[in-house]
Amino acid sequence: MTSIVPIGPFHPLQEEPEHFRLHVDGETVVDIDINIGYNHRGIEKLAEARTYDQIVFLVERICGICSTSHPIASVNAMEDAGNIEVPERALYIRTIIAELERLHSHLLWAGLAGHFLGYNTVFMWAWKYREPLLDICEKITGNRNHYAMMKPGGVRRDIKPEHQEELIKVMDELMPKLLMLYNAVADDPVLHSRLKGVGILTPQDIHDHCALGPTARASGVAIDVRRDHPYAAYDRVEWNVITHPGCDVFAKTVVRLLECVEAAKIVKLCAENMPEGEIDSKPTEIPPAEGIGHAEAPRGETFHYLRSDGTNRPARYKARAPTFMNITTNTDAVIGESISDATIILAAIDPCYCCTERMAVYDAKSGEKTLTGNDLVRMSQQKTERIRKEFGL
Amino acid sequence: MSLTLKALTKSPWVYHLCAGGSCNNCDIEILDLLCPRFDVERFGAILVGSPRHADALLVTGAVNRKSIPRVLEVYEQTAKPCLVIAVGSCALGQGIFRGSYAMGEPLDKYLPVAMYIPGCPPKPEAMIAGIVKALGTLG
Amino acid sequence: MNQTVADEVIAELGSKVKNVFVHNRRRVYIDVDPEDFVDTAVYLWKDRHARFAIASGLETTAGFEVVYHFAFDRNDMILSVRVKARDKERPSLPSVAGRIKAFAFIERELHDLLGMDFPGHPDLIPLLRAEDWPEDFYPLRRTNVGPDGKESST
Repeated sequence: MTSIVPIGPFHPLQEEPEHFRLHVDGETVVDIDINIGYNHRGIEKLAEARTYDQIVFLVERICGICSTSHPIASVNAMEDAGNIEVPERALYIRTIIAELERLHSHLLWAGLAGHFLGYNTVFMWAWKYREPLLDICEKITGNRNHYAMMKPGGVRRDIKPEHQEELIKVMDELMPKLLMLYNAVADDPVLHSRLKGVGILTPQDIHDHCALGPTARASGVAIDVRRDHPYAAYDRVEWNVITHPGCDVFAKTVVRLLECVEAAKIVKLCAENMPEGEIDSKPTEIPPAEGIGHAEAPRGETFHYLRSDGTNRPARYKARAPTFMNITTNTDAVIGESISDATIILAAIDPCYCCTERMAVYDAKSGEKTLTGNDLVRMSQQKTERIRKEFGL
Repeated sequence: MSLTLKALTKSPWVYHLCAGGSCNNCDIEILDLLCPRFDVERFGAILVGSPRHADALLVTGAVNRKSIPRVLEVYEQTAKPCLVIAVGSCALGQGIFRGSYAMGEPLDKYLPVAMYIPGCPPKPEAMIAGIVKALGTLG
Repeated sequence: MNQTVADEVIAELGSKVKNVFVHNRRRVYIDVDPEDFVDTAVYLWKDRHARFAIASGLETTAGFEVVYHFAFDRNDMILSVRVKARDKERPSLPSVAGRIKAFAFIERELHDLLGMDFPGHPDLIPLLRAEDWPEDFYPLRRTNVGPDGKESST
């Protein structure tokens, strides 16, 4: 056993590490404090001491679930700075990996949302259907998560013909399950009651916060980096941007489920139409320049900016995850709502899984902490139970 | 009865603690343990909602400086003996974030780590193997 | 087509634009003075419906600058606006957060990591700083002293 390092000064009254502190008056949320410092890792500073090749591995670990979207944005920024070409086959491979990730990310979210709402079968079901996706990712890349596939100029590994075939098979098997999940949500009166009209973000809210991804698209704002600023092979295959005018949590749920259907479609089209050829243009340098790369992660746009000074390390590296822009929308989405809905509203923007755990409720008048994150999840699940009983289910 | 089976029949109550500075991948794979494919509940292992009931603490993350008080507080609250199991490269030695100004020291400078499960992230099978092995040491 | 949009925007901003650099058809960089920036940002976001993507601040040998990136989603273009702070000792830029909510967090982050001030920000409190960081520790500054007061290892 190693010795314990004192961390003093340790203030007993030190602020508890909640990502979200909800201030309530009775059952209504009147204010919210958002605290994102607990996951700060100093990645941009670390990047200045890394070579461009190393940076791709570093940024992959900004987020476990948007893992590959950061490397894609990263190599796009490097390719932008250096005017580096990428072979066609590599573009298709990037697309496949990105969409596989979107699939397992959205299914993860659906499962968590199911758990928060007290639909444990949805939780188990969604996470069960993630497994074949993680399996095929492991076959292609060597890992269930953190694929190490991207490099400036192309991809690190090719996809074997037998895996190309298997991708098509996995997508064919998954599609009916995705449609089943979508229909289950779309047809469930209890979910309608729980999620419709809850956590509303108007198009103006989206504009004010410059929100992104499904959060924006569920308020009818049709922005998607894959279509608006095409990269990889998104402009080479047919697919649809999914929007919904509802503005509420229901709309965000529908958007993500239908995006799963589109993602499976894109993977299959890419696997079927992928051209033969090189997978790496083998660039050797990035001249002094500025480069910007962005990608549509499951949660929205990841945005990377770099300044190259001609050496193999950047003078400055900036990485921005989508949640950074979306998280402030919670001020508009949750204030005025009931605490039993708080969990699902905060979860609706699909923040880091650990973020939603770290919630707490404080009484607005006394300033006392009254409820923990676990309490809020339980209240959410209980609300669903009540509604089920009302519906006689 | 083999040592493994003995450990499995102990119905360990496990609390998951994210020590900050994490990409959440390990956290997600830990949650995956509950799901149909791995289903650790059939071994009696339960993820509990409070550290006070925990036989084992599964800790992830590279230990962000802001999170240190909470990490210590959570460990303080556990009923002893409580096995601290470090899950993932970050919890082992801060992984790819080693050297960052935002991090404290590696986890085992703050808590007595009984078991290290490497990987980025470790596969669920590796986590199960590590947890079982750690519980086997409880005797 | 994006060149037209960029040209229109630059023409409309007129004398506020002090320099233009076109990296390629999707990446255009313009320089704007601090006193003109809030109006520029509001014009791009409100009149041109551009999306503020993020800002990247850095300290160069010449001083502190922040590059604000605006995405023109309908035109496949990013217009980046470079604003240089005049004071090298106490770098400061006017806050946009009071006019556009999307700027609130990034200005706090720049305050934390570069020590830049944003007068006019409604709530310029720490976003990422841990309580035990020394007061004058700004991780992204060139003069690098670590969080423990010693030379940083990176």
